[in-house]
Amino acid sequence: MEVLLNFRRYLLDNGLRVLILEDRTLPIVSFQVHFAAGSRYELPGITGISHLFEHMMFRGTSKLGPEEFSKIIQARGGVVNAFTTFDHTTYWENIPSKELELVIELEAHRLKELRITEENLATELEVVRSERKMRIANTPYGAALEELFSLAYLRHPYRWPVIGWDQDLRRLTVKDCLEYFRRRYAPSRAVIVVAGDVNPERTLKLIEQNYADLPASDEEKDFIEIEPPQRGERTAVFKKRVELGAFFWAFHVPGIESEDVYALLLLAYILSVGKTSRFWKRFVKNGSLTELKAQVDPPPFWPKDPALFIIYGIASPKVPLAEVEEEVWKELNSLKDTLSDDEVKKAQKLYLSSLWDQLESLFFRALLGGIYEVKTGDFRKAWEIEEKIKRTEKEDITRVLERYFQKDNRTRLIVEPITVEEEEKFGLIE
Amino acid sequence: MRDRMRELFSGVKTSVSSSGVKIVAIPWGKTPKITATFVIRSGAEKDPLGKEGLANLTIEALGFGTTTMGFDVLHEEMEKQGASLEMGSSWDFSYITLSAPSDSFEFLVPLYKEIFFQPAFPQKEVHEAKNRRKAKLQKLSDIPSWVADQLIWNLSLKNSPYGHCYMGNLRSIDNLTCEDLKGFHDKYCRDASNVSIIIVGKEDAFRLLDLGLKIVEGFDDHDNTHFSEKGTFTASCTEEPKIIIIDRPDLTQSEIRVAFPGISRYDPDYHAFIVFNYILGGGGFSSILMDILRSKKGLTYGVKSYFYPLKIRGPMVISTYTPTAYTSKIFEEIIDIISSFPHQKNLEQYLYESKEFFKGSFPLRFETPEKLLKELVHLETYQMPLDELLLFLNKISEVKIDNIMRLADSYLKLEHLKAIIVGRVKDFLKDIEHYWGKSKVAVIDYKDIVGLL
Repeated sequence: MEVLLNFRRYLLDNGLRVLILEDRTLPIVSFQVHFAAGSRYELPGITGISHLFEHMMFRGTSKLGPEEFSKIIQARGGVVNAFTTFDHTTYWENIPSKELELVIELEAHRLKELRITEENLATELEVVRSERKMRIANTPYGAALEELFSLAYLRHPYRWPVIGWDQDLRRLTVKDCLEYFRRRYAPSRAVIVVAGDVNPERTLKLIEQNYADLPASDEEKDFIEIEPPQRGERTAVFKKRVELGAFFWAFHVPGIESEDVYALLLLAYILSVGKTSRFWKRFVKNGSLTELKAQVDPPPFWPKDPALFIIYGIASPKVPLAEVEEEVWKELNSLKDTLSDDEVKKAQKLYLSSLWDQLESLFFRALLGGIYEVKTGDFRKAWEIEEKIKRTEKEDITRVLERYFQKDNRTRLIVEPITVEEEEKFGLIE
Repeated sequence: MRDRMRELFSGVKTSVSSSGVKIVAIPWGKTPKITATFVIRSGAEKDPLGKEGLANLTIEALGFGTTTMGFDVLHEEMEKQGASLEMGSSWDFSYITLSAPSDSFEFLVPLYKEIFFQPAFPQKEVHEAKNRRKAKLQKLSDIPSWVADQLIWNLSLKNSPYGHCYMGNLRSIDNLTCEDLKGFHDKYCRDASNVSIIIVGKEDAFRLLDLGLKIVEGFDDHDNTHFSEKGTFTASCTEEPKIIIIDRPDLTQSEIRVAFPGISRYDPDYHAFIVFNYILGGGGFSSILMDILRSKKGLTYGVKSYFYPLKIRGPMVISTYTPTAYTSKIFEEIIDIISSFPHQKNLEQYLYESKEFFKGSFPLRFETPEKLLKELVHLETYQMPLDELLLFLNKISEVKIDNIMRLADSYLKLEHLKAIIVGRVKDFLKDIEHYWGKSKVAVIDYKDIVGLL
């Protein structure tokens, strides 16, 4: 892995970190800028501002009109986009290598000359509200998942969705955006990654020419509320018009820098990846449940702060959900006594095989380096993934099972189907 | 850049086995994996009436066990090597892909062969799979975007072999028997002229070719029935109503699909159509639809156009969603954009930018073995030479503004328009009926959509 992620790391005087990876296989480059600016850094009342701001970065500068940034890059053969998570916002371009200079100039330019007006904010707020409906309100279980997070976290900012609450989106202002930009987009909170057909020395020079004059800022300390340990199971019912009922369980587990991450990852594989996984064999194959998954975000997307390990089951049209849910709990509990070394080895192989597929792309390699750097301060932690997965043993998995998969650490949400008429009484989900 | 691509493709080796199966081997990749894909040039378009979903279920059922090995043993053997077996079936093709770490690939070759050549189609497994599929369809019918995609497809290709859901529907799935599955397999998977194998990995081309030959060694050509590769059906465009609204009173955003008849993969305008589609709505922020509907008017987070070049003329679709209150407005905006397409300002600039995009982004299409495999599966499905990829940029560069105008004039005809809206009908029905006329609009309750699939 080290060979494929052999970035050179540089630090500019203003605190900007730069990672460069040379790979001349094809005449392409992945250019990425990662900011420590995600919903983790928001406050109640301005939820969703990290993601909204990501949109505003495309809405024009002193010399570019709305979305002109993207149009210019696409017209040079590039693919451009951005995304926001709990912990960071990432802007990326996959481009022909000859266009690298232009992209560096454009990315630096929008940091220096961004223009946010009442008019373009109003247009973009509507766009983001439409995105929220697409991702959350109009999906069968999107709103239920939001409720699960709100129930599992009492204090920590992971309790609200990255896209924000609709009522907050309606009241965000230009002033909020500018203040957010000042606080979160300082060079010392950013990591630039360049991976592909590049000359590292020349690339660094170009970055220095364009970014070195960004002023360093006195970083304001981040006050992130710490989630207290859960002291007993939390259960809720979420009524919604859906075809099939469902249950969602969330267990608190540690953040990305914990050694337990690897055992938990393998546990997710043992439970629900592949046709020989526990859940598939016992519940999905025979139709007891339409879907049953154990879900964690694999590195580098695993959250910075203590995360949630989610297990969810979607009912089968013909089997009572409550009965199956109890059986799933028994299956999970029996795992610590029945897990075999072969199952662990199989999960290791399946995970690494899937990781290798992802490592084929420059985009993913740049993401791995950049996101580890922005979350942990050291991209080299990504090198360790393969070794740590290989070193994980059956005992590590039984230990995390015993430690985290207790009812006292569980938040349980049941999605109960209702009729359209009942739905009308609750009001529409926005 | 083209020379660099030519150099990359010079490593490709092809051969034909003694039984007539084409083998394509490509040394490509950075990580120690090998992937092989059987491409079967038949898919859901071969589903008999009343047995929709047959192709797709047959291909899935290849993984249910062989004449010597049950479901669990088969998958255990695969997964303990870190291998994955993926199978699927679309409209014009089906595939069975084995992806495995290089050091265990050869060990798995006999099993991969057995899966393809000696499937058992066990009764119990097929029965369970049918139940899973029906539950899945019920789950999908709850997702407004899926319903809209599915129904616009069915509406556009109604009365053709393509006018159904490739997964089947609740009625047809019940009709499928193990004998049906066996029949489909015998007819389409055991015909050497209907099958190719592509093998990609970080290995020497000759070793890959050798592995490919081992996979197809002993291919027993069961059925030599030849069937027409090019369909002649033209999608019907004249039936009423034009617009079907699925009423979902619980939604706050409408899913909208607008379709016109498109082209087949063999159409001489194929490359011009790619550029035309990019300009209309395929090019993200560089497209007219996105520019007007999202960037300027903020009516939606997403709008795109796409087309399905099949063995027959597949539809061209405009796809978007918008908060319920804007449903009629965005629909009218789409009609305006379509109607005024030839008079758009800067059409020449759009054309230039689109051609530059395809030129610059060309290498990205082959960056990973997975992407390369996808391109090659397409070529094998439509039996096109590798040159089709190498000449792609030449053909794109030859597209002129006159071609684009002609395509807009020929294909964006309002009289051929069909549309699906999934949303809260009481909030926009009046406006839609006012614009189109009542006779052109039909409303269906969401509980009845299963009958439409």
